[in-house]
Amino acid sequence: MLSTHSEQPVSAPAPVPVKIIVAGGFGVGKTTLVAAISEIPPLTTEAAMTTLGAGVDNPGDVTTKTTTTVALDFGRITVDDSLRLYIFGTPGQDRFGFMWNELTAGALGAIILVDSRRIEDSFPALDFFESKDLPFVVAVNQFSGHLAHDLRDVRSALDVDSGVPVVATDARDRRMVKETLLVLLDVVLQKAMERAAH
Amino acid sequence: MTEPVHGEHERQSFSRPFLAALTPSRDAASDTLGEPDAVRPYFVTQGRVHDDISGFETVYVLTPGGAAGLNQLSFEHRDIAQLCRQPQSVVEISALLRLPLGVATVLTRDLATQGYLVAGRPAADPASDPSLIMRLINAVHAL
Repeated sequence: MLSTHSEQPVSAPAPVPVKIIVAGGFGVGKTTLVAAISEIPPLTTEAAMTTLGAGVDNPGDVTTKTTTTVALDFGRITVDDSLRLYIFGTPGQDRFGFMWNELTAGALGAIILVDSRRIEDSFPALDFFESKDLPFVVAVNQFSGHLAHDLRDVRSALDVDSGVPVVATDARDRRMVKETLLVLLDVVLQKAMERAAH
Repeated sequence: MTEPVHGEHERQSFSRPFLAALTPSRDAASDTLGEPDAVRPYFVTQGRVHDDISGFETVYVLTPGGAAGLNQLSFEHRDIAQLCRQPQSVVEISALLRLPLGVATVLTRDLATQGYLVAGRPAADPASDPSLIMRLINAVHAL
């Protein structure tokens, strides 16, 4: 224990962090989307999941103790000295679903990124955010500049609530990602105002 | 990510002969878990694991007392403390120092407990705070 320390930080006080989640199937472009909007190059961290990963990988392996390493990408937007927005790209696979509880605790909302050629890949994320009552938007990623399906077809295939925005985006395009983020924040704002009114 | 976690960073800062003796040889490692022969990150947490990891984005910053006492710290702790001269979240510390998230969480908490770092306050129910969300919207608009 330090004897001479004070509780005051060296630099400005630590900013308050808030976060949003980017979810979706493997390879749908989550990291690309984070990179398009983040003020820092996306960082990757690794969470070692020992007990919870047991039995998932290779049950026939010599050891029964399985360590699963989950990579987690994230970016950052500094709002001002006292507020920071973190954007987390979640591992999209079913098997990492257990991590979402921890990751999404306190999150403002989520962008669910969809590849319209593989719509079913986004079902786990949709189910999760619907069950958590977290605000989300569905963003259909345009690969090679066009959508494989009409947005109405995607909405119908996903069977999302009519209040959930379904938008086209391009994970590589900063402007479109910015628009997508604003659509999400608008939903988050509506919900916050409803709560504040009660 | 298939490369060994933490390995490169550990080698860069590796200068503790007392740990070298405790590092399993490659043969020993391949006999057990097949992991690389760097010091395992959980060694520096002395086997402790995080009891909850809800604070991924908790932001920490160095205190003046912490800045004055850096020399008393182990390498892993010192790296974290140095990094926190500017406010850093646990995930940033983890990513920048190539520490698994659970390890970064434990070490960062150590430093906060000892007064080297101070944790920023979490947002108080941000999802019910229209003015906070408006600040976010304005910031994203301005990007």
